[in-house]
Amino acid sequence: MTPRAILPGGIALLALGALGAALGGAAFASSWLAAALIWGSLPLGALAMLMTQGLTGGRWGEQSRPLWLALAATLPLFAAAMLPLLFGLHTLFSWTLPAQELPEVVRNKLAYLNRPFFVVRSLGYFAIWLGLAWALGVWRRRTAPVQAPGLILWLLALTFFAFDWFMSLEPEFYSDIYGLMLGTGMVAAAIACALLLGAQHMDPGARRDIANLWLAILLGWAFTAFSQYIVIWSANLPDEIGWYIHRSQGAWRPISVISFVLFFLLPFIVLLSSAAKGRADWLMFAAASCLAGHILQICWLILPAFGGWSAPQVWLVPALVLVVGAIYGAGYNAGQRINRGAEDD
Amino acid sequence: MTEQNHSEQDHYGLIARFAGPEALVAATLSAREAGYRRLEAHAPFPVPGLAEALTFRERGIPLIALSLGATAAAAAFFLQWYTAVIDYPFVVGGKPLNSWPAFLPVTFQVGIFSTVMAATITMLAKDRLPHYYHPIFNCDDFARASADGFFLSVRGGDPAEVEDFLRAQGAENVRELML
Repeated sequence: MTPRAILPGGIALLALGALGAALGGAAFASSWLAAALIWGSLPLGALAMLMTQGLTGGRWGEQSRPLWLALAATLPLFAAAMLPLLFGLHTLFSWTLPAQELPEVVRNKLAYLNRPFFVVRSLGYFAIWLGLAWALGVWRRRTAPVQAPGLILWLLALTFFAFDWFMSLEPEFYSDIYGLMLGTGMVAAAIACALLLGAQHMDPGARRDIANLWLAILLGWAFTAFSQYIVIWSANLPDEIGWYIHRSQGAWRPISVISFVLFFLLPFIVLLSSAAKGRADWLMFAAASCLAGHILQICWLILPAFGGWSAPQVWLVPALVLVVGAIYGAGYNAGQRINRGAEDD
Repeated sequence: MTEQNHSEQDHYGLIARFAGPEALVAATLSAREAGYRRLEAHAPFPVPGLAEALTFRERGIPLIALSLGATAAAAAFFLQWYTAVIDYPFVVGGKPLNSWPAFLPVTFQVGIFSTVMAATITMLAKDRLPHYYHPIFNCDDFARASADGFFLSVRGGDPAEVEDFLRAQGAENVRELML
């Protein structure tokens, strides 16, 4: 996708985010963060798939490469959506409060969790990802051989991104498998998106390979997510278990179950059957279910950090998810059209 | 006459060697079309389309593996639940007696182990392995099935007629297999 297609969407996201942050305060900022991360997961996951494909080659990669490129090309939109939040850190993160008001365990983390360093790190993550996307040929015809170091860099950046933008919402909490859990979740969501968009146009062999990869990634996610849960649940330490307690109260309990069923269980059962793996319609059903589960899961990871639901959030979260998603979709479509035009020339 | 009967009784079938994987698949397809049913193909590597040409379908192993694995996993979970909740209730770390998350790793491992064992044992049983004697090894050439030989064996039938058919399909050589 060319910058031409991204520009209007990026400007719209920047303006909307800045406007909302100015007017809406904390409820808007947290809802915006959830919406941006839901859609931002897709280009991040697609980057990992592009690099994996570059390392292994194979028929599945040749067939799906245009999809990963198109998804990864929406990365600037993700950056544009996150940028306004850098000016509203005080509405999102409790560690921006004066030090004497913070619990001791958080005060000890202030050498890492402080505004200037946080902003520099955030800019760094996006510089890494945008640089990788550029090197991998998302915006040009050439591909540089950065896949192997790129994957390592991708996971490291994602782990620290998860520490900063997900985990530090509740600064007492700490889990070192979080980045892996989030990474596998994002790649699974990106594969689901690619299957939903392209399963009908791939040849059956390539489709089956992608379905098998998807199953492996989903199992990886289940493994990391359960590992984190069992370790924290067994230890039952106050700083850590609070994270799960916030996420199993009120509406979040049914949401956690529904998102698990949609994101993992339904696709897993479909992918168990060798016949279903060969059929585009079953794969598209599983992919749609996985994406719906992904939306709920990111909400479940982000929003319980802000305590109870405020009244505007009940409509604000779905509305923002739709708006940001629509801008993403528009950018994606415009890019596809321009790409096709360029190929015709 | 008795001599003749004797050799007919000893006749197992014919084995033909083909030039390559494509020729083997083509010959298998036309053999099935011509009505031969007791066919077996041997190749040094998995040839795409060969299983379909033989209309070989394996439904039993996945089903048996899945159901045995699920049963064993359920039994493992039940055993942990029974010991922790009914037989020897003991509070550990202030957790409820039915601490199901702690039961899952063992349940998972027993489930996977049983699935793999069920699949392997069913596969061996359905392949009738271990099998100490098979007439196909009476063919000197057959060792090449592990190197560069592509073989099709046809069991039973009139030897002369089958041989003509196999030669017509482009077999490089045809040999009789004796019991």
